Amino acid sequence: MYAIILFRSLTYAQRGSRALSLAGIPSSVIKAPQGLTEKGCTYGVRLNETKLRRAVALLDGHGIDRGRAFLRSRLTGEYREVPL
Amino acid sequence: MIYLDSAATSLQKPPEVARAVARAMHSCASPGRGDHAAAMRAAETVFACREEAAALFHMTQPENVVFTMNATHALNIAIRSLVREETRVAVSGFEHNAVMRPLYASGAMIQASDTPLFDSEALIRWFEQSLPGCGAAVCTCVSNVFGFILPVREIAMLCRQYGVPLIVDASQSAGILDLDFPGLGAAFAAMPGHKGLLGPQGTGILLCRDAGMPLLSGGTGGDSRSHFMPETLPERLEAGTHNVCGIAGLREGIRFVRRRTTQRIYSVEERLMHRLAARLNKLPGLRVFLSERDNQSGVLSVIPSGMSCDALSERLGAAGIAVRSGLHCAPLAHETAGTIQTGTVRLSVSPFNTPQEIDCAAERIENILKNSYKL
Repeated sequence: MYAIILFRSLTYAQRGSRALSLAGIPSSVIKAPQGLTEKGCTYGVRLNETKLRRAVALLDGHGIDRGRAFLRSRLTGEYREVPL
Repeated sequence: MIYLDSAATSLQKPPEVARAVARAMHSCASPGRGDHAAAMRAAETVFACREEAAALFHMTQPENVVFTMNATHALNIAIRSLVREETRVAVSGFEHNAVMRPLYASGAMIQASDTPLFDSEALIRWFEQSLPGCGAAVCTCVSNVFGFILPVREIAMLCRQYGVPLIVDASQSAGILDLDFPGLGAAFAAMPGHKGLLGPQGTGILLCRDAGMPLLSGGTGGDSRSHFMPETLPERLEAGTHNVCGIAGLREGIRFVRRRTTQRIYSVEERLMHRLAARLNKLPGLRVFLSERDNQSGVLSVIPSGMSCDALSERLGAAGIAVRSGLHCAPLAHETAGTIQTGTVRLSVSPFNTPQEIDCAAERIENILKNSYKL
């Protein structure tokens, strides 16, 4: 299982990923799956699901505007939104 | 060739600039237009340049660094964002056509200062009197014709005091004089990538305090279902595919400036300009526009009395000295300084010029002038 945090734009996703990296949380910027947003193409960061809570707290602490977060099941490949 | 036209474009660049352009050409696709390695590499390149620029201008939000084609493009966005028909706009009397033409096109009511060249105090007083009732103000950091370093910090303070949004034209100062964008409190600062920032032509930057009005609409790689441009920066102001290769080069130019520091770059340029001015000031038949105050950058204008500015520029070109003559796209600055009829010959240095080059250029000018008297 891994987690995805969505962002408003590619640039925000990059800024988020950079902040996570500086805090020792590895992540990669990805194009978000179409089903996760009604806005069309968007970007997010992908990271280990065990780091999700810490990552969200860190992004919020830095004032980096983020969107919803999802967990992807390794078995079914489905995304489940994580209430934050 | 001795290149003394850096106020138009810096020709000598750090070698890593060209290397980065070539590397990007071979390895980068379009940022935000896919999730394959080449697209992500392009996205990383562009973002890394935003971070470099944000650091240079003391900003904590790289998303407020918008890439444009050049300073003119950036100024057009800024002016479109703040100025409507009949908006009263106060401008310094040293603005470039990149400011004046978009203002005239907008139908703004323009008030331009008429204070003397190099007189910072008079200019501050003029802005203080003119700002009340204005909807915007525009001020260049450095005159592209005379190298006059305008008191932008003081003018920005007045703008904050009167609640007037300020557009700063940093075309001649970016990479040469320190610019603390958040500290200034300006609404926008526009600059080219190809002058003091030492990047390639076709690159520019607009620093934004808030989101502005898009000049172009189109694809941004995100928010695709919306009929309108996104609300967030930088995508709001960056429609279409980026000049990724140019931005890759610009990143290296800015990195060079940050390593060298603007203080050192300015110090070198100012020393070279004063060396040149000291030589030229001794020549009879040459009017040299040199400030008696400590407010002139590495740009020096001169007017010969025995020949036209174009003739002097042409003869210098033939002798391997690259300078520029004419109005330098800034007729307002010439009206302010009283040189609109003749224009000037402009000599502008870069951190890559040497004292030997300066002495050689001064000698050639002296020889040309002497020969013209004989004729």
